Amino acid sequence: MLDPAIQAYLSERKVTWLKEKLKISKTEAEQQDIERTAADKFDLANWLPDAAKRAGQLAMVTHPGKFSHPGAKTSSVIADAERKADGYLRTGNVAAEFDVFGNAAALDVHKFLSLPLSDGQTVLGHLEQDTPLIRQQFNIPTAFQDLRQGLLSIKSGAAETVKTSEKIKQVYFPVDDGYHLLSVLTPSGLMFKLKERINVLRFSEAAKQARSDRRNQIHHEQGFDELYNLTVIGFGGTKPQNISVLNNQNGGTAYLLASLPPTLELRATQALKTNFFLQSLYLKDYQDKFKALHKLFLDTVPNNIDVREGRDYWILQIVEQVMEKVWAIRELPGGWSETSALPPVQKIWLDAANAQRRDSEDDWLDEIIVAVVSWLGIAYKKAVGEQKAIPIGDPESRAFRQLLAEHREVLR
Amino acid sequence: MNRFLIVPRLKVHNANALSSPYTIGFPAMTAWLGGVHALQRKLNAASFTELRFSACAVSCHQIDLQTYQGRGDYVQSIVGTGNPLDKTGERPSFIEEARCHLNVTLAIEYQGVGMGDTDAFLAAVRHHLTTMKLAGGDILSFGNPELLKIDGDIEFGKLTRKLMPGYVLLERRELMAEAMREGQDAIDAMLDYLTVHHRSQIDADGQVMWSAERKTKGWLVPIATGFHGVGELGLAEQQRDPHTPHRFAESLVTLGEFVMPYRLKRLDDLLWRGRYDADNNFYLIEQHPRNA
Repeated sequence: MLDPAIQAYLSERKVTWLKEKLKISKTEAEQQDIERTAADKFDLANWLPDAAKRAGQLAMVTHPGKFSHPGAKTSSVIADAERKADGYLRTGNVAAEFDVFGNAAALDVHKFLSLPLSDGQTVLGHLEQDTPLIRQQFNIPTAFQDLRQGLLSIKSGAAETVKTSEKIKQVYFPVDDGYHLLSVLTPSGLMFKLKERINVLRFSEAAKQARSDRRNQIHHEQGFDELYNLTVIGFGGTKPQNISVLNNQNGGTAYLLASLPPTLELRATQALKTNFFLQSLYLKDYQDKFKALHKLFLDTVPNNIDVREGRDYWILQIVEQVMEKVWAIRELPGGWSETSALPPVQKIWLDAANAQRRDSEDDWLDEIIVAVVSWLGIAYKKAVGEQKAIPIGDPESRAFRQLLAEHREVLR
Repeated sequence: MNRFLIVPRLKVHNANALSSPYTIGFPAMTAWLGGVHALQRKLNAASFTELRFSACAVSCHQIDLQTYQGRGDYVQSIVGTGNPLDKTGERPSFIEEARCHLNVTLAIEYQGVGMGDTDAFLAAVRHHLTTMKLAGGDILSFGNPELLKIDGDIEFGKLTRKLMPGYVLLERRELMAEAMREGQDAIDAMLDYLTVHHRSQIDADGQVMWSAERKTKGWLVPIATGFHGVGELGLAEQQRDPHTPHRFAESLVTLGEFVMPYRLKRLDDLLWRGRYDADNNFYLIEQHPRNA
């Protein structure tokens, strides 16, 4: 019995082929002739030896060179690595598909080899392991080992001479006794596996439903995960098939995850006249962070480690935001504070002219810590409202003081 | 004593932002350490034969990534430049390139410069930097390089203040490793830390409450920190030089956290070093392992 998957594959190909050939009206005799040809062509005994001949026109790889440059011709790389919980995204740590490149007219052979048979194993897998099942399936006049070798030549890349390309990035990496030269390739199977997972997050029915439930404030059992700041990259332009099969299947695009630090807005602002805390800080910019902090102050177990860590986290977030203003002011040409009415310690803190002094002295920094702690207390009260704010008593203001003393370098 | 060369406010134009096949943004750690190593080689050739650059930190003051987002687009696209035409005058099928402009301060740990040579050393650094590329980009300008000697972690603050205000990378591979030990594969382990998790609960009054949280606090990003050898060591046709052992490799990507340097307390949390791990075919730029 021919496996249903193979059966279905052959009849499907036959139907497609016939549709093409019978498009233009033909005489009945001609039509019969074409149908006879089709029956022959897509009989396993004929199709298989032909496929075995064509398999060598394709190469199955894990790391195609053409993602680096369409003109890069490298020898085929079929990588395999052990799975380890080492914290690296790499070959071996994700189950990914092979990619294929070569003569587009032979791609049907790759499709055939990828068919899962009734036991779930692909034709290719069976061939590689030389199983009794595949021998029985390929019971045709042509010698089995010839067929097998022909078909497996799709993976014969490893046997050819190793060839990199001047169009591939080649990197020297220092090792004990010199260097290794690394030709850096793209694991397209992994790259498109990432795309698949991201598309599930973005477009799956479950995610769509959960998003709509959130909009309507309805409960959803699983919820959903949102990924921001995606970039799309294209390979092969209007001809993604020129790069590889997986690239073509993915419409020639993949996703890139953002790997960026937070932005610092350091553009010089206006010089100020009397007091930094009154003139340069706008409470509404800090409202959300103070509210988050307030929640933690309200917690009944203030010494719980999570509460403490959360509290420290929000205080430092606020202080970093304050410092962004300070750093921006320091971008002004030095000397501006001389004619201002700023308290002396603020002049040291803010004016670029005093950079040396800030670096070598510490007294002014102690004063600034006191000033910032005091501003934190006032701003907190204003941000959450005098009524709601818990009085900034000893434990809370001590938390401010201690944390800033420990992280005093941020204020320098 | 730890000795550092500080190169402040280094402006790099058109650096390579395609740090791996899965990430875009801050150039890969391999690119920074590679640049530092290239500088060492130039200085070695120019009479500082004993000089070694053993570790490095990069503080990012500003980064300007060249992508665009159309109005209403969910995703950004890369602002590409045309590749050169091929021999027949045709435009080759297009591989997009991603670039960024940066302003960074480098802190490079060094050994092997005599006390009396420091002025000549700094002059040589200034001279060679102007002729170099860094992370694939052009060096436009930099502040006056200086040398700093600190007594390990005790005087660590003296070093971090040179790097402010900016963000440095802290390796957070241990987060991903832990998730993988619990059974997630590398992609799921990574995405779980990068996504915002929207979940709903029904409270005692039957009210539905939606919350949005990340798996953990901190500015976590995927970063490229090395290469994984995926072919045998040997010689290949068309390799850049015929004498160095060659192999095919892929990027190694893991999690990192951008933090302001003042938050760190130890040199080990700041500095990145290169290492070849022959057992796993890893070419790593890494930090001292924490809880891993």
